[in-house]
Amino acid sequence: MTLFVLFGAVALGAAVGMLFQRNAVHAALLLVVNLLSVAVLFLTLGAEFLFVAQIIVYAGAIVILFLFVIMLLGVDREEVLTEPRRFQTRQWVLGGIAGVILLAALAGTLGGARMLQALPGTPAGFGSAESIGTSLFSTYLLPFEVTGLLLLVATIGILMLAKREPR
Amino acid sequence: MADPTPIPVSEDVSAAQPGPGLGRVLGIVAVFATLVVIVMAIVLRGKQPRAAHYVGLSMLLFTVGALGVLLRRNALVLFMCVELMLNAVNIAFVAFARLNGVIGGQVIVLFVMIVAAAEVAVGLAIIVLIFRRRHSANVDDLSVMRW
Repeated sequence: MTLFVLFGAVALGAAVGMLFQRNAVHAALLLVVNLLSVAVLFLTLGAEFLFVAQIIVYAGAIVILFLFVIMLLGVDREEVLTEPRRFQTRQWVLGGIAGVILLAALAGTLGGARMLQALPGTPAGFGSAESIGTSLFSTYLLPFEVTGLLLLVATIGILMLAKREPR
Repeated sequence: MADPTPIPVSEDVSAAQPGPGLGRVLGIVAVFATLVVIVMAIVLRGKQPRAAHYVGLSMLLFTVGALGVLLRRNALVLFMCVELMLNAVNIAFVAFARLNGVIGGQVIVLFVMIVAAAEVAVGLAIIVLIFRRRHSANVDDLSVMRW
């Protein structure tokens, strides 16, 4: 519980900080903090492979891509980095209402006595790279192939987008 | 020479300067929250977290991410908030995988990560293209489909 409370609080605090941080670089760094603490939460749930994948894919690749684009657009340019203004009263009120409604709608998932029971122990090797790989190449083979196709399509799409138009 | 008349400061500029009050209040709240978290971590150290705790945290993170998408105007920060929402859902997936003893929940998290990576790559390429034309990363400026 100690790990959950500490890293859950860090994740939530970083997320709220992202919401109010007007500097895009700082927001990206807060996102790294959030993703790393969520990775630790994965570890406390016994998902060892996802712990490593989260660090490599999210913190290592996606956030670096964000920072790379911020640098590419120009880190010294005001219009890239910051927003024109702080939240105004109208945004506070409407955002608060939307947040409460969304939380109330999602709170329905918390019902059920099973959610409050102790988490069952896991079989040996649950969440290891081996068990995920076995599952990936047997039960989930078709979705796995489709994600490969998705990555190919994304790569081609980015090449088309990045191509300079001939003059 | 007459006194220069004070330049009317628009709301945007005056609001952009850090107010002395808000920052101090936020600092006090942050210190207080840290103390509460440390006390909670010590008090609850013997117990095991339940699935409801993880799902509740996932709920809160998802809400914060959704509010970010609704309230923020910078396209880059908007994308970061989408990542936050995807990641919040991943916590719930892993918690349910553990609760039910099914590895499928963790495999789906892997798929979510792959889709998120593809989405970010394409989205950022589009943002770069828009920035080249409009010189702005503000989504409020992108109100036309064709220009």
